[in-house]
Order: sequence, then structure tokens, then C-alpha cells
Amino acid sequence: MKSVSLHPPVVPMESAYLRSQLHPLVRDWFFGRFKDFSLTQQYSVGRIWERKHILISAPTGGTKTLSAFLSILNYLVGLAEKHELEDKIYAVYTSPLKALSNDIFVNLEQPLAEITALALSRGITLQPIRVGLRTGDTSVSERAKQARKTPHIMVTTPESLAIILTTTVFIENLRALEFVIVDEIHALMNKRGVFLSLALERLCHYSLIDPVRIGLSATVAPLETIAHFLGGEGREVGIAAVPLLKDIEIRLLYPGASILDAEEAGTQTGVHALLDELIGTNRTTLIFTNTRSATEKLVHHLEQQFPGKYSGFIGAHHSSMSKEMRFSIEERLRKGELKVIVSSTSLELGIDIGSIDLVILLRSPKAVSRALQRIGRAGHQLHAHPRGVLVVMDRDDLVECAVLMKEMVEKTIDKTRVPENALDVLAQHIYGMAIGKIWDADEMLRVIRKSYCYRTLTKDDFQSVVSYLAGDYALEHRHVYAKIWYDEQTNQIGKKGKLARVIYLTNIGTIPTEGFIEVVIGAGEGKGVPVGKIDEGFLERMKRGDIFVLGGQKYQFLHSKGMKAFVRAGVTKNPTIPSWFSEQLPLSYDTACAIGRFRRLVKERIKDSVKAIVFIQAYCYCSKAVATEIYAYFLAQERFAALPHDETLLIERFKEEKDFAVFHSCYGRRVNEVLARVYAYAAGRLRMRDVEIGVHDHGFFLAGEDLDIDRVLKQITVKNMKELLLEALEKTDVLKRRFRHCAARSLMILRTYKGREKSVGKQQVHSEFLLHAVRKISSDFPILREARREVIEDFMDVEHALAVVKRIEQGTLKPQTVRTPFVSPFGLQLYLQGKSDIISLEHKLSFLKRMHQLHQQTIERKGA
Amino acid sequence: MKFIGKSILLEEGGEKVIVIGDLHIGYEQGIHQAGVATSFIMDTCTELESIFKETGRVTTCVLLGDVIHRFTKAGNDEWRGVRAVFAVLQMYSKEIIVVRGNHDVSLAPLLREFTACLIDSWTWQGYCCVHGDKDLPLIHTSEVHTWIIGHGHPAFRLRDGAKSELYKCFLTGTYQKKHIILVPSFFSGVVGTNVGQYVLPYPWKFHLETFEVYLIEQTDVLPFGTLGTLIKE
Repeated sequence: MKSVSLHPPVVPMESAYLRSQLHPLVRDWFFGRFKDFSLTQQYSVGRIWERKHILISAPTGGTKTLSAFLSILNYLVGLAEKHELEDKIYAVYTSPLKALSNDIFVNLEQPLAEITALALSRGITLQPIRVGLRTGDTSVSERAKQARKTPHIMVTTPESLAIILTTTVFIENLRALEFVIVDEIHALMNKRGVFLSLALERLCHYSLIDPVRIGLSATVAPLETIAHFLGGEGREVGIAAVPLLKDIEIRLLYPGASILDAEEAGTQTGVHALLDELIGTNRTTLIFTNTRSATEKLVHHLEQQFPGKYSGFIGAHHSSMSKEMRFSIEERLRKGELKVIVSSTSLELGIDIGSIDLVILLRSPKAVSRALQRIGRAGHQLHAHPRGVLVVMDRDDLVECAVLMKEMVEKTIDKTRVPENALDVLAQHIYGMAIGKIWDADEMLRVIRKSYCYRTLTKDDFQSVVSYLAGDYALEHRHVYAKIWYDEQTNQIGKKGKLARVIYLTNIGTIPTEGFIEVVIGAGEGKGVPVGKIDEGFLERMKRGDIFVLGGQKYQFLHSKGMKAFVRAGVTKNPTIPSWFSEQLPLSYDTACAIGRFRRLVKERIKDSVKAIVFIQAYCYCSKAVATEIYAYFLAQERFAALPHDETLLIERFKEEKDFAVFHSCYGRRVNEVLARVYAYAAGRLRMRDVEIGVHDHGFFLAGEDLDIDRVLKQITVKNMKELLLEALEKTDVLKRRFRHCAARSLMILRTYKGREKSVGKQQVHSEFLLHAVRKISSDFPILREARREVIEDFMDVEHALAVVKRIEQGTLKPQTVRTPFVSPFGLQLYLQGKSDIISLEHKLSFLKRMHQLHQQTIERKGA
Repeated sequence: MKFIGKSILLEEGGEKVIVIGDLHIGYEQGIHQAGVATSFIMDTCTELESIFKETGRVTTCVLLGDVIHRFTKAGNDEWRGVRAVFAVLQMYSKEIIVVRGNHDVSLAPLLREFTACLIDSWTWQGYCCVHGDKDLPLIHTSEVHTWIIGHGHPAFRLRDGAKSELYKCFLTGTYQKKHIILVPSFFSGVVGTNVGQYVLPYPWKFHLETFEVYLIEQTDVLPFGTLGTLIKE
């Protein structure tokens, strides 16, 4: 039992010591460029030189590249001078963003060129140190060149890395890999990261020496988990938590004199005026919205409302744009040609974008880590004071941002987690491994379990994925459709079929292809403006006149043509169909709980307005105006029904065409997705009727007939919650969609086969049929199990939902039911947003019969 | 004429004819990289059996085409599937007629084991069965009063507020003085194409809004009025 931590903190080293370790050429080059080592470099350079694994957590800044690479360059230059550089890959760098890899490539070539020139000026000829860039964009000729002349440093992406691992030429060159750098680790807390962690273990397995692992991360928590993720099982990784240099300067604003003014739909102009004002006082402003559609709309509105002022000086940036467009925007930003740039999430990652004076976050960024990351983009120089403004447009956002501000100032970072035991990514990797060589099954499992994400993988799960790949999930145990073979006698695994490698290469990756239908305004105001994207499956259910919610706005469906859906905006009626399709980022669980705590503390002081406002100001570090607005909102809720908080689960009951139960559970949308479905399912089962749900960060609602909430509350326990959730999910769209993604990742559905790309529509039909077929075989089919796991653990948050149910069981969270004439102030947004799903308990046949009866009644009435 | 689940029963002059929609045997092969080989043949055979339990022995069984799915040379699955299905059909019908569908390119060899005719259309007592992928001159003759058509896989999405379900359906109406019956696919793996949203691939321009819709779930077939009014509801 180890008492010493595998992930100890690292302390910075003395500048003088680090200087003494540098090769004279590197030293002279470095100090010709910079005054001294940055703090991040003091934390990292020495340890890397000592060949020890390290996780560097530092605020976004320009010195990270060198923090990771300086020791490596130092080593390579030393070899290059002695002409001892071998034809092998010494270091592999990976980042999740192609553009970033591009950046890094440039950031390495320059110093190498300068050092070479410096050497030459001293009569020293260095062996050329080659840097290779390998991403999905790398040309065939470039790849051939790399095969001929091995780069010493390979800059790549996780997917390209996995591809390289199946290429014999490169495997040979990776046998003595000495360094691995993983950049933007905080952006890898998803299946892409899982994919990379397995690729790393495969990489290290091929290499005869265990390469030094260097991880670069922004400010995230908990660092021990990230370090463990980087190092895998059994490796000691030092954690260099470089302290935030200066406090960020942050303000919270809303347009207009009062927040209620801001809430009115028509005051979009108010926001634009406020933004215009802020932009005007700065040279370059970066505005973050949360969704792609909001990004496009904002650019459109700013150009329209201030004609001539912004044209040519404003740009949008998001991941759906073409590579060329994005690059051109980034170039113009770097050169300082743009006054304002609007981005959804794409500019969060560390591409160099020149100097930004102000970062505006439009609407809540939903998590402290994201807020800090975004605001950290301001300045981008070592000692600059990052300046940020949070602009909110409604009261819920106001409260959320006030609490976020508190957490930012106090540096309470939300916790992140990475998916574990993802069987679809595992399937893809097992296939890739089998393509490389024949494996002993136990050896393969051993390598896989070295990854943090698979350290608890059971032999059964491993075996079931192998069985699926070997075509064992077939009737009559025919070994058909196998991608690998598994020999029980010899316990070996190998690839099957001549096309294996081609299929693998053309279908590799974890990012699902979505069949996006572009939603465009088809009539009335704003005709021609794109407002967002919906899934093909969503479109299939719509009929003319349907009202749905997209990006927080309501639209009425008119008609569709090809890959476009035409709608009317400015709709006030309630949505008629559930909008499960949401681009919105979920509020972090930690912040949501903090809001609950905050509510309780204000409630304790609610009777004394002066005291309460003073308290809020101090607690949230906000202005008096903001504190006053928050107090007014809380008071309104308290007076109308009751102020819900972290010790009371307020349940509002009112009746409209349906019976409504609004649960004020402030735990973030991911937890509420679980609770809503479980409670709806339990409620539905009592009457065998469907229940509609609406889910939000601050609560959820159930709408149905005759809801017996008291009984439902008693029925759900920690013991049965997960089981009920899985039952409730079986027929939902959410599971169907995730299954399609998992099926694609595990190569059940191929995007491209024999060179032909399958359209997403075809993939969807196939996946529906596939799901039907899979269920016939076994409800325990590994890929189906993975789809369920992904839904409840990654998309939703079953772990924290269980914690909430536990608190109800233990009595530390008390349900309190209140009858209201209509929805309360706190419930309004949730109610207006409309339903997001329906828990279906009514059988297909009973539904048909019931509808038939209704139809008959309509006819009789018409006749009479 | 009677609807028996997804099939049609015609009775006249002491003879019984049962009409079955597209079977698409081997459809599962279309996802052959999936690594999952399940079969819908058992389902198809079970459903056929239950229909014959209700109708009893029939004189003729007509398959409306697309008996097999894959265009390439028939493989084991097609052989196995066709044999299983025809075993059931032979038990209950004196004669089997197969109307050729656009997918039935490689069907002929499989039928040699059975006494089954493979033809482009079959007319009986004024009812004419065609697949529905192409127009044929003889169906327009005056002897024919009804066209029974497969191919389109008609289905309808029934909505009630947020809830919706897709059902296979029959559509009946008139066109150029003929009675038209559009038959859903018999294959249970896929429901079909929602006529409320999409245009069905028939070569004739039917005014489907005027057609009567009959929604099917298991053995129940329920009328829902015309498609036009149903869409509006």
C-alpha cells in the first residue's frame, strides 16, 4: 500500500540552476530573446531535463510552448552539434486542435531556425533538426516525405497519432521515443481524451524506453485526476500548479436601467448598445457567446444596427467555419486589424490571437474554469491584467454570474472528470492494435489497463468487446462480419480481412457526424438569417406550424427543402414539440450547488433588505445595483411561493391543460436530466400514461395527467434509481442518438466503406435498424451498454443525481410542495423553455387505439 | 376485400387470395460490417403463420415484389430466408405468385426450388397486383378495376402533442378511374416512409391527401379518415 503520492507537487527551480543546464547555443539564443525564465518555465524546464513526468497547469500564456519544449530542444541541439542525431522520432506533441498544432509547428521552426543561424555565425554547423506536422490536413506528398526523412519532433493530433501507430514505417521510428507532450489536456476530458490515453499507452508499449510525459493544462480541478490521466497507472507525475499571476479584473453588467428591462424580448437593442459602448473603449474586444447561432446573430445585428461602423472590422469564429475562413480571421486578429471578434467556444483554446484588450462573456459561461479560460485570453502577454466583463440579460443569469464571479475571485474551480471504461473507443483501439500485429489477449488487456480511463476495466467487458469484434454476436454462432479473430486455444487476437487497415484509417476518430439541417428564417423579419442547426431526426418529427425552441428562442416551422428548414421567428405561443436538441452548455454541478447555498444565506436575511443587499455585495464582490436586483428577485420568489435553496426541494404544483410539477432542484442540467426522467417515469408508471418533461440548469418540470408526486418521491431510492433511469431511457431519442455515435465509434456503422461516404441520413436509418437488431440479440450487447453509460455518465450526471436522492432519503434535503396559481418567478424561464422530452409509457398499440377513439369522436361531433 | 394485419385478403368465387407486401429478405446484410448478424426471418415467418391461422388455406398467395433486398448475387442468408418463408407459404397456399420488384434482380434462381411464378403483374377478378416501381400498359385496361401496389413502404407518424409514433399503413383511393390500394412493406425491421412528410416513389401522381389511411399495429388495422385531414389534425 503506497503511502507516497504518485502525483506530488512540483516546486519552481532557481533561474541560475536552469541557466547552467542549457547548452551554450540554446542559452545564448534564449537570453537573446528573453530577459529571464518565466514562472511556468521555472516550474517545468528542470524537471523535464531530469526526465521526470510532469503536468503543467498554468494560465493561458505565451510561454507554455517553450516550457514544454525548451529542455527537449536543449537535448536535441546538444546531439545536433555532435552530429549524433539519429533518424528517429525523439518527441511527439499532440493537441486536440489542428490549428493549435499548426501554431506549435511554427513556434518550433522559428527558434530552431534562429539557433541554427546563431550556430552558423559561430562557425558551427548543426545537424538539421526536423519538425514534422501530421494532421488530417497533411498532404500525401508531405506524408511520403516524412516516411522518407523521419522528423525528430512530430506534431500531431490524437487521431493522426493512432493512425501512425498502425504504420510500420513510423512504428520503427518510435521505438526509442523519449518525450511525449499532451497539450490542452483540459479540453480532453471526454471521449477524445479517452482515445488519446489509449493511443499513448500503445505508443509507450512500442517504445523500448518509457518516454517522459509532459502535460499542459489550463486551470482545472482536480489536478491529481488530470495527472493520473496523463501518466496512466503506476507512473509518478509531478504537478506543477503555476499560481495565477494576477487577479483578473471582472465586472458584471446588464443593459438598461434594470434587469427586468433587459429581460423584455425587444431589448436586444439594449444589449447591442451596451456592447457597442464597451467595444468603443477598447482596441480589440473578444466576445464569447455560448452557441454558434448566437455568434452569427450577434455579428449580424451589430453590423445592422451600426451600419458602416463594424463592417470589415468584425469577425465571427466558430468550429463550423471553413479552415480558410478561420485562418484568415485569426491572421487578421494577430495583425490587429479587427476591432471585435465574436466566438462561441472555438477561441477558448490557446491559439495565438495577438493581444486582446477586453473579453466579454455574453450570458453565463456556466463554469468557473471556462470563465477563467476565456477571460485569460485577454492580454495574452505575460504580465498583463486580463480584463473581463460578464453581460447578462435575465435574472437567472444575473444570479448565476454573480456566484460565478465569487468563485472566480476565490479561485474555486469546478471539478471535471473523464469518461471511464468507454467500450466503443476500446473497440476502435483493439481493432487498431490487431491491425498492427498479433497479440496475446492478456498482454493486450494489460496495456489497455495502463490507461487511467481503463484501469478498472473488467475482463468480462474486455472479452465482450473482443467477442463483438470477432463477430460472435451472431445467431447460430456464425463467425461472420468479424473484424478480428480470437483464438481461444492460443488466447491470441489478430486482424481479419484485407480491408482492415483501410476501413480503420477511414473511420477513425471519436467525433460523431451529425446530420445537420440548417435552420433559416423563411419569412418575416430576418428572412434568410440562419439561426442554428437541428438534427435530421428532429426534422422528421416536425410538421408545418410546430413551434420549437432553438438557442433559447422560439420558432415556428414552415417547411423544409433539402438540408434546410425554414422557420418564422418572433413566436410567442408555447412550443408544441419537445426540443431535446440543445446547443446550450450545462451549468457545472459545483456552481449550481453554490447557488443553492447562496440562496439559503440570502433567505436567512431576507426580511432586512439593507442587511441582505450589503451581504450580497460582499459575498459576490458585486456592485450595489447588482446586489439590489438580486435581492428583489429573491424577495419576489419568496413572496410568491418560497425561496428554494440547498436544504429545501421546492415543488410547485399548478394546473393548465396538464398537471404541472416544477421541481426547483438547482443542480445543473446534467443532474436534472436524470432526476426529471426518473421522476417522470415513476409518475407515468402509476397511470401508464406518458409524462412530458422540461429540463433546465435550475430545475425541471413534469407535465402529465394526475401526477402523484408524493408517492413518486417515496418510490425513488438510491437503490433503484439507476435501474429506473435505464428503463426510462430505453425508448428515448437521446439513447438512440448516442447509440448511433457509439456504433460509429466502434465501427459497427462505417462512415466510409470502399471509398464511398455514407450520408448521415443513411447512417440514421441503419442505426435505427441496428438498434432494433441489437436489442433482439441481447440487451447486454457491449455497444448498447456503452451508449447507456455514455448517456447517464457523460451526457447526464447520474453520480450527483444519486447524491441528491440520497440527501432526500436521509432528510438533509426536504421536499416542500406548494400550490401556485401559475408558475413562480424562479420557474418562469424553465416553463417558457418548454418540454425537452417525453417519457413514453403508453404502448404503441394503446396509443393507436386511443387516437382512433379521439378521431371517431371528432367525426361524430362534426356530423352532429 | 379485407385487411389482415399488414396483408390483404381477397375472396371471390370460392377462391381466396392473400397479398403480402415487400419482404426484403437479406436486408440485414445491408449493415454487414456491423458485426451483428440477427435475422428477421423468424419474425416474418411467425407473422405469416398468424395470418394464415386467421385466413385458413388460400388458393393463391401473391408477393408484391422486393422479396429479396440485395442486388448482388444471392448469398446464404437469401437462400435460407427464401426457403423458410416459402416453406410457410407452401403449407397454406396452393399457388404462389411473385410479382417482380426492382430489388428482385437475383431472385429467379432461388425460386426454382419452388413452384412459384415470377411475373411483372398478376391480374385476378379485376384486381391487378404490381410492384409499383414502374407503370405497365396492361394495368390501364378496362378489365382492371383495382391496382394493388407495394414498393412505397407507406407509413404515417401519428402525433398527439409531444408524443408521436410511426405506423405502417394502407392507403386507398382512386386514380384515373381505378381503385388504388397502397400496401405497406411486410418486413418488420423498418417501419416505412412517413407519407405525412415525404413523397413516395411511385411513378404515378396520386393525390394522396384524398386517400383513406388505415394505420396498422400488430393485428389491428384502424381507419383514420383521409390523409389530408389527418395531416391537419
